[in-house]
Order: sequence, then C-alpha cells, then structure tokens
Amino acid sequence: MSNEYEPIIIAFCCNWCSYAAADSAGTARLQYPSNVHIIRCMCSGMVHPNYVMNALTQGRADGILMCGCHIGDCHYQDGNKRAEKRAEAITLMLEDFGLEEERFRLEWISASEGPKFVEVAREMTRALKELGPNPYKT
Amino acid sequence: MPNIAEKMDGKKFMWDQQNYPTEKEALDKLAEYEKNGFETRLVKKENQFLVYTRRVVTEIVIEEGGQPL
Amino acid sequence: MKGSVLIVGAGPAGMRAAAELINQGFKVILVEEKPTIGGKMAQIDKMFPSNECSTCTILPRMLELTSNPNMTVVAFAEVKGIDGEAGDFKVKVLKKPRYVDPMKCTACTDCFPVCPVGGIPMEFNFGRGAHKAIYFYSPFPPRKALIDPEKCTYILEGKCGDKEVPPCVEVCEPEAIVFGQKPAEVEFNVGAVILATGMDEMKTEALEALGYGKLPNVLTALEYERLLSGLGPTGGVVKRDDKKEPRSIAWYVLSNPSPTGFMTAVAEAMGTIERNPDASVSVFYEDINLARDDYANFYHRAKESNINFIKTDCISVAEGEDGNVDLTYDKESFHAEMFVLVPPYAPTEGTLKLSKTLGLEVDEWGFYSKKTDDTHPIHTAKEGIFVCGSAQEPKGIDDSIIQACSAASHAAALLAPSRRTELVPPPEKDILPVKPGDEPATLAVICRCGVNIAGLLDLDELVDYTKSLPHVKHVEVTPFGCDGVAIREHLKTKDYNRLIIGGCSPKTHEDLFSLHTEMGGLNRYLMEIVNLRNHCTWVHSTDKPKATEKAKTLMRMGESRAALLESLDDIHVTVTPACLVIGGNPSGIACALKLGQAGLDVYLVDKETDLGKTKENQNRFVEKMIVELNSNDKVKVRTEAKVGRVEGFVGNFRAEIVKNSGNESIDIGSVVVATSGDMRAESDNGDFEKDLLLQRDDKNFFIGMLGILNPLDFNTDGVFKCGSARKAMGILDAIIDGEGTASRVAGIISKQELVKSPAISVVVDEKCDGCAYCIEPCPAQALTLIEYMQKDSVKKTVEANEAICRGCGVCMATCPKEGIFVRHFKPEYFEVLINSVTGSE
Repeated sequence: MSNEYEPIIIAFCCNWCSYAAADSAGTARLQYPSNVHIIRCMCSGMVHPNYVMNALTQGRADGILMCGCHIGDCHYQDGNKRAEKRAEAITLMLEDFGLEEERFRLEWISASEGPKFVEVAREMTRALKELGPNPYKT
Repeated sequence: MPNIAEKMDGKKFMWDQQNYPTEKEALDKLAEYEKNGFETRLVKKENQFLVYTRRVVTEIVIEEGGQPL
Repeated sequence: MKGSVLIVGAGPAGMRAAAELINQGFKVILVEEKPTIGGKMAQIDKMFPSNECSTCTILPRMLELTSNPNMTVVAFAEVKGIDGEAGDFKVKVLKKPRYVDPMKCTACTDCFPVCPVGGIPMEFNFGRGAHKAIYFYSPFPPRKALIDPEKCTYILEGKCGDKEVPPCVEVCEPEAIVFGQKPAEVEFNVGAVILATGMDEMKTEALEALGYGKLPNVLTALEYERLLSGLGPTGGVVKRDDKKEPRSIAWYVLSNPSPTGFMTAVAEAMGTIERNPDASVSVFYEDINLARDDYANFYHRAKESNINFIKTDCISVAEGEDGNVDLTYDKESFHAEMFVLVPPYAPTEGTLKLSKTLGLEVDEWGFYSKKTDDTHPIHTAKEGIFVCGSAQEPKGIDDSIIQACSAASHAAALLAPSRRTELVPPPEKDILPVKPGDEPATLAVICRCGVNIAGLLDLDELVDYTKSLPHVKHVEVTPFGCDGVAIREHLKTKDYNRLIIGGCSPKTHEDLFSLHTEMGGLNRYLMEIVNLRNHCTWVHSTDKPKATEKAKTLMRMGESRAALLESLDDIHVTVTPACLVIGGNPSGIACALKLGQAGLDVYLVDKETDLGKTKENQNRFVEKMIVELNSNDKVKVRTEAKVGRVEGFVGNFRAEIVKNSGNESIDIGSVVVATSGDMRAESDNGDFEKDLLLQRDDKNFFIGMLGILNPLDFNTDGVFKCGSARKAMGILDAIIDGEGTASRVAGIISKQELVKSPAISVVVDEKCDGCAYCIEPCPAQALTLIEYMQKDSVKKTVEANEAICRGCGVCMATCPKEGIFVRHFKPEYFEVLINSVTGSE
C-alpha cells in the first residue's frame, strides 16, 4: 500500500474563477482524487514561471495545474493572457529539463464549471499515475 | 539611515546617497540635476541635507533579447 | 429626509442600484421575493453579446453586497404597500416564513440527508432536479435553508414519519428550525424606492401550439439555461429528461419587438456548440432586429460557428420518434432531439402585483413603461419612486445596469442633503501591534462545520497534527467558526499574533472571518483560511484516511503561509470632490445636472458658444435640463472651450480647460467623456485622450473596460464614458447614460477618500534595476519607469501607483529580479506553500 505511488498535483487557482469552480465542485459534492492541492492566487497572471519550474525541478510535485478565467473573463482584463504566454514558455522549458509535458497543464475554468475542474483533476491524476513519479523527486 | 525612496507630493523621489556638508552645496547639486531635467526635492533631516530626484521615462526600451513573460 | 433607499427586486438591476447607492453614502434595503438573490442573471449560463459567464460575473458582486453592513437584504419577502412621500416613505414588507431562523442557520446542510420527504421539483431549475422538504432555493446567497410548507409532513400533519421529534430538528445544532414561524410584517422608513422587479418568459397558448407542455423535450430558453449551467440539474451537460444527450437542437424565436429574445437564442446556440462542436444547432426565427453593432457581431460569430440560422414565419411541430420533435417549416422538415422556444417577455408576477398595490401606471403589456415623451423612463407618477431594468421594459443586462445606475443617481439627487446620515459607523477595534520580526504565535481554530468537516475527518488526528506544527500554540475545535465565538474569545487574550482557520472557503467567508479576527483584536491580514470543506471533506468523502491526510497537508500549508504573513493597513487615497464632464450634448448635460443636483461640483466643457446651439440639444427634455443646469450653482459651464492636458489619477486629476480668452487649470477627482466622435483634442493644446490612455475603435467610439457590468467605465480608474462617446444612441438613451455615469462618478467624489485593500504592488528599490519588463504587461497601467541620480550615476526604478494598482500580480510574476511584489501575496508565501505540500524542508 505504501509502495503505491500517489502523484502530488499542485493547482494554482485564480480567486475569481477557478478557485470558485473548485468551491462549487465541493458544494455539488463532486468527487475527485485527494492528490490535488490548491494554492489560491488573485490571478493566473500572478503565477511566476519559476514557481512551476522550481516545484518540478525540486521534486515538490509530480504535476502542476495552472487554472484561470476564460480569455475575456479575466477580472483584471488580461492577466490570463500573460499566464497563457508563460505557459507556452514553461512547456518549452519542460522539454529542456527532461520533464514530460503531462506534468504541466493550463486550463481555463469559469466559476460555474465545477464539473470541468473535477474532470481535469481526475484526468491529470490518472495521467500522472501512469507516467510515474517526477524524475527530480529524491 | 535615510529612506532610499520617499513619496512627496504624491510622487516617488529617490535619494542620491550623497553627503552634503552645507545647504548651499546641496542646492547647487539640486540645480545641476534640474538642468538635466530631473524634478528635485531638498529634505532637511537631523542636520543632514538630503537631495532627492526623479525623472519620468516615457520611452520604454526593452533591452535586446529581453524576454518579458 | 431619510438617507436610505428601498429597492424591490434583487436581480442585476436591483443589485447594481444597491451597490451604487451604498457607494454614494446611502443605506439600502433590498427586498427580494425569492429566497435567494440574483434574478434571471443567476439562472443563465452565458450573457450576450460578450459571452461572459454569468455566475463568475455576478457572484463576487453578490458577496460584496451581502457582506456590507450598510446593506440589508430581505429575501423571501414582498412589498405590501408604500405610504408617505419622497424623502419619507414608509414601506410595508411582508416576510414569508422559512420555518428556519436565518440568523441561526449556518448552511451546514446536516438537515438535508435526514429529511424523509424528497423528490420535490426545483423551482429554480424550472422543475428539473429535486430537493427535500428542507432545502436551499438556489446556490446563491443568502445561503439559508427553508422548508416547503406544502410538502413538509410535520407542517401539514404534525408528524414526520414515526419520529417524535423531526430529524431535521434533532440534527440542527444551532437550533435554527422554527416550525411555529409566521409571516412577519416589517416597516421600513426610507427616502426613495426603486422598483427593479424584472421580467419573465411569457407562457401562452402560442407556446403550447409549438408543443410546450405537450411534447417531451420542448423547453423554454430559461429552462435550457439551467441545462447549460454547471450549477444546474445536469451539471452543465445538456441532457433530455430521458438522460439522452441531444445531438440536434433547434431554437425557435417567437416574434419579439426587442432583440433580447433573438440574442438569447444566439447565446444558447453558441454555448451548446462550444461544448459539443459536432452537434447540429439551428436557430429558427421570424424576424431579426439587431439594433446594435455588438449584437450584430455576436450574431456573425455565431453564423461562422456552424450554427444554422433559418428565417421562417411558418413553423409547425409534431411528435417524432424516441421523444424527438419533428419540425415542418416552409415545406421543409427537420428532426430535432430537443426544441427550445424563446418566447417574448412579460412582466413578472411581482411587477403586476406591485403596480396594482401601488397604483402605478403600466403599458399594455404590464411593464412600467411610459409611451409619452414627457415622462422620464426612470420616473413613475409618484415622486421618489423610480423604476429600472427589465421591469421598465425587457432589455439586456448591460442596459439594465445602466438604468440601475441612472435610478441610483435620481435617488441620490433627491436625497442629497441626507447623504451619509444613515450609514453604520465602523465598529471600534483595539488591534494588537505586530511587527515583521515578531516570533509567530499561532492560534488554530478548526471548525467542525456541523458534520461537514467533523463527520468525515479523524478530528483527533487532525488536532494532534495541527498542535505539532511550528508556531501553533493552541488548537481550538468549534462547532461553527463563522459565529466568531471561539475566534474572538481566544484572540482577546492577546496571546496570539496569527490565526489559522480550518474551515470552509475564503471566497464565501473571508469578509466574515476578517471581521471576527479584527473584533478579536488581530489585524485581518494575519489570518489564514484553510479550505477543509469545499476542497477536502466535500470532495473526498469516500475515503476518510485520504481526506484526513490531505486535511493535515492543507493545515501544514496554511500554517507555513500564516507564519510569514504581515500586519497590513488599508490604503487611503484623498479625493478632490469635483468632476469634469467633457461634451455638452444630451448625455454630458444629463450627467452634469445629476451631479449638481447631488450637491457635487462639476465642470461642463463644450466647444459651442451656447449649449442650446448643438442640434441634439434642441429637444424638450434637454432644453429643460439646460435651464436647470444654468441655475444650479454647483455646475460650472465652460462654453467655447476644449480640454487640453489631463494629468494625475483617480481622485487627483488636474485638467487644463483651453479657451481663446485664456486657459483655466482645474483640480478634479473624476472625468467623464461625453463627446461625440468629432470632438478630438488638438495636439498643441495637449491630448486628454492620450493622457488618460483612452482608445477608440474603428468607428471612433471609445473602448471601455471589458465586461458586461462595466458599460460606462474606462479601464482607467476614475474616468467614465456616456452617450455618443461610446455608441450611437437616441437622445433618451443618451440622457439615461449620462445619469448613470453621474452615479459612477458620485461613487468616487462623494467620498473624502477612497479606501482600498493594501494587497497591491510594492517596488523593492534595492533589487529593481529598471529593466521595465513589468511596465507594459500591467493591466491597470499602474507602473511608471523613473530615472534618478545615485552618486553621480543615473539609475532606474519603477514607481507603482497605489491608487490604481489592483493587485493582480502580473508585474511580480514578470519580474526577473524580485524587484516588485504584491503585499499579502509575496513570492516567499508561494514558495513555502509549494514546499509544504510534500512536508519536506
């Protein structure tokens, strides 16, 4: 039992949309794996690419999920567009570090999309379980 | 130790980190800075004469190869 | 004269009018007939023409409002009568019995599973989805349970199953259930009343002829919205009542003078095809009248998205196989697996009842709509009673918002002398001084939340673990943290300088917990909420050990962040109590007049020699306004003038009024752009458009802030737009636009200072080298690059404008030098959170 690998996923959720979606998944009692740990940020644009890269290259998580508002819905107008650009750069950097692309995911999830948050949480946990632990984990 | 940055009249001014023994020397420097287009403020604090400056940059040039994310 | 306003109807218009009025210093009572607020906006999925998510947009506003001490929400209540006159009304309101005391109910939901009466169709979902006899009306505030007296066996027969005591009463720890509750009449004494009772779909024989109520899988547009909504009965997956997911869906828009119906169909069709690109989606309509460019653009987008639009005035319906609907139109046939009807709109039952009760005039359809040119659409025959939103006439959400702002400005003008007289003063607080170097001493309060948290987790294990965390000095378990008792009692000992709450969500409870924290004597920014409920027990309820492990991780994460938190003070920005309105046309005049009537100083600048000279102003309404304007000493009209440079920021602008006879420099707190396309500033006098970062689109209209709730706002704080500056509109609409903008302005300049959260950006001058990467990405354009002298060298750094920074953190995440951070969201907080997930150092 203790040998079975359980991936650790850190999910950065923006206060206005995706954090609310995770909340509403709770209100609806939708179930998803406890592998996902949410960190609240005010905007997906608040997430420095270093947080993601350090978390992965220091073996703090097996996967990182970045969630924000749909384009056009950002509470700060276009913070999420910044996040989108950074996500592209992060995806390229993952390759350089020998990290599989499944270990980072960007999703736009609106406040009423609790079911989508759950779906993403389940899918990512499944994918990372199959993939195996982060090679940078000690 | 004086603050590197001070807000005066709602604007951010930066200390030049120089020591001026007399007010006249401080004022002379102030004039020199103003000739170069800086806004200036003179602050007297505990027998020290502190010179603060600022100049808004309107043309932002990102260095070659700079990659703001 | 009273300094308060009663608003009837808590849909988008009612809620917006409430927010505008509180912001201008008036107390608000918001009466809503349903048990929860939000109106139709709470029921729809996406809004046209912006395709924004309705819930995401409205929920933050609802939470702001409901936590404001100057707002009283009276839900599940009806207005029974209004006596008195403008400035002093007595409004009788009848509160319907919930059979639950809302002051005691904590929304723990322990009562739901034990109630034996279920399967009651949900009214909020138009009959889809079911609830128990004790239930929440909708997912929206106020989140208080109520009992259906027509289904609860204890209310009907005096017994519940074979139990002596009804199980709901047994499990309710706060003892909130009150079967003996009776309707209660209350009277509110207010200065003005605003009616915002909305609209409903008109369900007539015309719908029945199209299969509604007869064939399965024929729905109305609102019913379909509930299927699209992630908070609806099918979790956002469009399903028929037989559980099948339809692959071909057709809409039929019944003939409708307003474009609202057609746009609703377009929005729903778009929402459907976005989720299911392979679906066959068709919209049948009798006529289109799009009226607006943005509506037309949305329609064109929809056409390009594989949605079929078919014009027909002859459509008939027959039952198909397997619950399908066979449509015949113009000799063609079409098989739809689901058929959605978009009927015209009718006034709500509430509007009909109220108009009779109050003896108010309505049009042939029952809306508070005047057809004569002499009466202002916002006014009723009774002075001091105003209307706005779809109750006045069916309209889209952004138009409802503008009318709500206009109604607020009318009420504010009426009640100007009594502004701030009824506001609740903030409570006295004695806050513990905490310095950054002080050793953290953490109080942990773990909330049982009824059984929501305690029922699943191994609480003993969690408590022991929390005790072992660094800096935790005491762990207190409490049945309901939100009542504040445990928090205040323990904080008052002054033994702690940090508080972590293991409970529910900061999104719903941050304001409340912040209040308890401060009443206990601790700065609110030293408090951390750990979401053990929505993000743990509620979503991992089948695995107690895993849920408990995760709860421990979440507490560890929260504690590590709490240890680094700092005491922070609110930011105060002084405000110059004056406004500049640029453009002496109908909207500019209306704006300036309402501001003057509200007792606020305003400059109105126009290029003509006389306001009456402008062609649009040669209108009965406008001429009357000009006369009033000229006799209002708060309004300073500057004709034959232009606006040159405008420097500064919200609350603190300085503008140059340029005239041949000499320039005038004025200080104002806010600017309104009411100009038409042709009034462009000349470059040698300075360009206020460039100074204020205003942009125009290809039709020369000004581009504003994104979002359907912000039609009058620019992205630049403190600057607003109205009338022909933002789009082509008739004179009456331009007047309402201008009045709406007056309300936006008054929300700023009626205050001596703006108070804002300190969670905004701070530059670290020791680290910032002026690379300027952060400047352009800032969505609020709050950052300026400055040069300065340091020991004979020119150095650079960034200046953050704390008045306009919104704390989004884009700058912090762009900076390669750790030269800028957002207070309360410092990079080190994110680091410790990330590192503490695995629990390793």
